[in-house]
Amino acid sequence: MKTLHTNYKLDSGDITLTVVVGNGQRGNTLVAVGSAVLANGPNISNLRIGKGSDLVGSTLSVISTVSQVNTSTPDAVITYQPRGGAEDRDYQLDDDFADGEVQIQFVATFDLTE
Amino acid sequence: MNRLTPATVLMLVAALAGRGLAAQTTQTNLDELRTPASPVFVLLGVAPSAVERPSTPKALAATLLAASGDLQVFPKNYAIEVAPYWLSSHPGLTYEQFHDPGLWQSLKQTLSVSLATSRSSPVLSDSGTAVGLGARTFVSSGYTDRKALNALTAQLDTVQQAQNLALLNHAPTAVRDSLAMRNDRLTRQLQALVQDRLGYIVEAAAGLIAAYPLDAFANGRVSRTGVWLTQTYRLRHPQADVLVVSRFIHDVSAARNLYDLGGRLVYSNRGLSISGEYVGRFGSSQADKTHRATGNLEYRWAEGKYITATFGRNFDEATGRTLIALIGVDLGFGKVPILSLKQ
Repeated sequence: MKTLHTNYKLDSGDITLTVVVGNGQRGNTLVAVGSAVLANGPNISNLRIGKGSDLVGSTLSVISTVSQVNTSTPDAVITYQPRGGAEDRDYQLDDDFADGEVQIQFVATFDLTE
Repeated sequence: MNRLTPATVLMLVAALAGRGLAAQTTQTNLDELRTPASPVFVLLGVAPSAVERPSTPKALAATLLAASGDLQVFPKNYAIEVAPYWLSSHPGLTYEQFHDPGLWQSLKQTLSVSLATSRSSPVLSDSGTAVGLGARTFVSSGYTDRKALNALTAQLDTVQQAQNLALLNHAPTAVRDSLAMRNDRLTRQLQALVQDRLGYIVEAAAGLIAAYPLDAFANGRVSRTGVWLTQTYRLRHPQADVLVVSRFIHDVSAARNLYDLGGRLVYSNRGLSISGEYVGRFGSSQADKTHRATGNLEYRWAEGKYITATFGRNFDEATGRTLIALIGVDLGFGKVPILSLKQ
């Protein structure tokens, strides 16, 4: 399992999140604020997380399971694009499928701050 | 019409074994003319015992350093094959883009480059080293069986989503392991499915060999070049393949050009496969002009058990023996000698 733990500075507007699973691999991503699941699927594109002012102090959890459908590369890469905060940020996680393994789980945790 | 049973064929094989078997090995069939995975090895005329296939820049650097003694010596009898596109990560390449690539994306993601050196290549008339460089790519990759792909992808999605929830909710290890096993099985099924391409598939390859007699750089010259183009149209229903192959070899040292153009039509239904195959060969001289045409019948009556028959005309040979008449059987115990009847 590959993890990322960081904070994301909010603004007053709407916060959205896009998650891109790269290298032609198949992945599904769950997005949750606290224990409330907002989405769980293959296409997380401009998903509205909530209003910045309402999210202060919350934790945004993003769990992805990626499978190695493309065997041309042993690499899995995932990009998180939170938008609407103090600044637009791109975060990237990558990992190799271990020998004999065809799946990896990625967990990104964003502490949402003022 | 008498039925040709496996027992009958075995008796024929036993009675006539040894007749004309050697001649078969010199035949050039259509499969030998198809775009090779590593064109440089075909042009060099060698089959390297080990081919390095690094998939990361770090592995590429390591293998080159090891082969060249930390860049101190030129590697001898060395073979390497690299897919340049996959040496770096592509965060923006989605699952959908990978499966439905446009022309440029298909060229990039299927390109492989091969490099080899040999001290025993037939292109060398004297001692020395032959160096080859080749490339191969898919101009058109065809498509995966869309219905099967969508069905398997939907199943994998369901399992991955369940895995995400299990991780979020700290589900028991047994539950998570069970989901991981299901993911594993579906992923491997998808891996196999995406290899099985349908529709219009075009493979292209080219290569060049330079020979350095006596290992002198000044003596270096281009010895052989080759270009391959293989076009396939594959249908699932009815199960049919149309294959067109073309190969051009330019042998500089022999001052000879050889051009092969061939085609095959295969129709399969309920274990029976019928095919017709033609290869025309053209060259620099009239003597190079010849052709090969065969009809093939294959019947599979059980898993791993086949009977095959081939009849036709082979390329012209000095012996004048051009008849091809073969009957073979495979009972699943391993390779059984093929019966050959030649005039």
